[in-house]
Amino acid sequence: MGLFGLINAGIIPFDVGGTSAADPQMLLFQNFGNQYANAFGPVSFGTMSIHAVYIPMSISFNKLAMLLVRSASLSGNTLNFSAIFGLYSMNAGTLSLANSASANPAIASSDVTAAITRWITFATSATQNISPGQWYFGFAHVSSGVNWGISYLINNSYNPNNVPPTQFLYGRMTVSTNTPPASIATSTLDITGNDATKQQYIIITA
Amino acid sequence: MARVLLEGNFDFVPSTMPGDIVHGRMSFSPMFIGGTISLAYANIAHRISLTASADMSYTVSLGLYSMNAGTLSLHQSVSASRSDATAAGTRASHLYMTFSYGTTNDITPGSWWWGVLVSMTGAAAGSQSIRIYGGTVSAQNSFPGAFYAGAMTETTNALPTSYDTASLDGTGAEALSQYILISA
Repeated sequence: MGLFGLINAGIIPFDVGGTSAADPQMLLFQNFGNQYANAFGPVSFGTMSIHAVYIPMSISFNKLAMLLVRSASLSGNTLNFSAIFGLYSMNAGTLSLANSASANPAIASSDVTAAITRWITFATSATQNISPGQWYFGFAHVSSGVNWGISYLINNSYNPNNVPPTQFLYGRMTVSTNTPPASIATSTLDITGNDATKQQYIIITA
Repeated sequence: MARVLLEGNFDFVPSTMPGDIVHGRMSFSPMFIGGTISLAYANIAHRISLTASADMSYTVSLGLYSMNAGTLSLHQSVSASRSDATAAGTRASHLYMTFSYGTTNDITPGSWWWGVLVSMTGAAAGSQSIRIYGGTVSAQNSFPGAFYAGAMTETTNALPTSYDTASLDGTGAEALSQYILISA
């Protein structure tokens, strides 16, 4: 499985967060250290990528952030796109949507005259206290037409040729969507290839 | 939660370093501590570089901070110093620096931030530099969540007892995590 797989499966928790109390709360959670993720992967339109995370302490699902990069070769155009996020639990191979968030970044053309690396923020649909345990993050870039050279910070894992011989670890939808589906059968997900094994970097802050 | 003997904000020694440390300009990096730890030692990994044959001395101070409502509060502090003599000549060295707390304190699981302050003396300005191992992905805008990491826009001679995160610069490579390893 490798280190990234262990991290993303939650076997090695590598997160940031929390205080100690009766119900200790994290202040900050990241699905992997951004220091691993010096690669910016291209995105697929609307085909949600989903991966397992282990959340070691409760955290208020208040703000969500990701890092995107845009190449200089397409500079000078205003960025118009959206991104969607789904927080899922899983039971018997079916992912169920627990909460969602969306981003509609406003990046002016004056800000994209050269290559950029920027944080984008997501508005959560409802603040929820996420309990510790196994969860699944789903992310999709949603845009029509041109992607304007947008990529997101991802981990830089190897890409095994066969499927992971474990519980569901990661995968990508084969059909596009504009909103996080209410439920997803993991058996319908594509779990091979770079777009399945590489995950976008996601931070939640209370 | 169980006790832990080691905790770090990286799973391995990173292979990258942000830019040169600015004398007296402090950076704050997050760390999740997964189990109670009896804090006895802290370590950083860094590179020193001298382009001229000269003495170089520096002190690194580490502050362990908790955060409440956007304000960082100093919980523990420790410092260490080292010197490189002129006889070593022009050089670049990659080193661990270890900090000993003397007496141990239990650190509870949860969110903590490390403040790193470097003071340098000796070689002429511009001929010596220190870089601490860490992340290098550099965002051009500030982190949009509560607080992740950041660097002071001013300089200081000592670890502040409290600091408003709103005053920190959250952009650039200095605003990403520096590698810190603690142990019982």
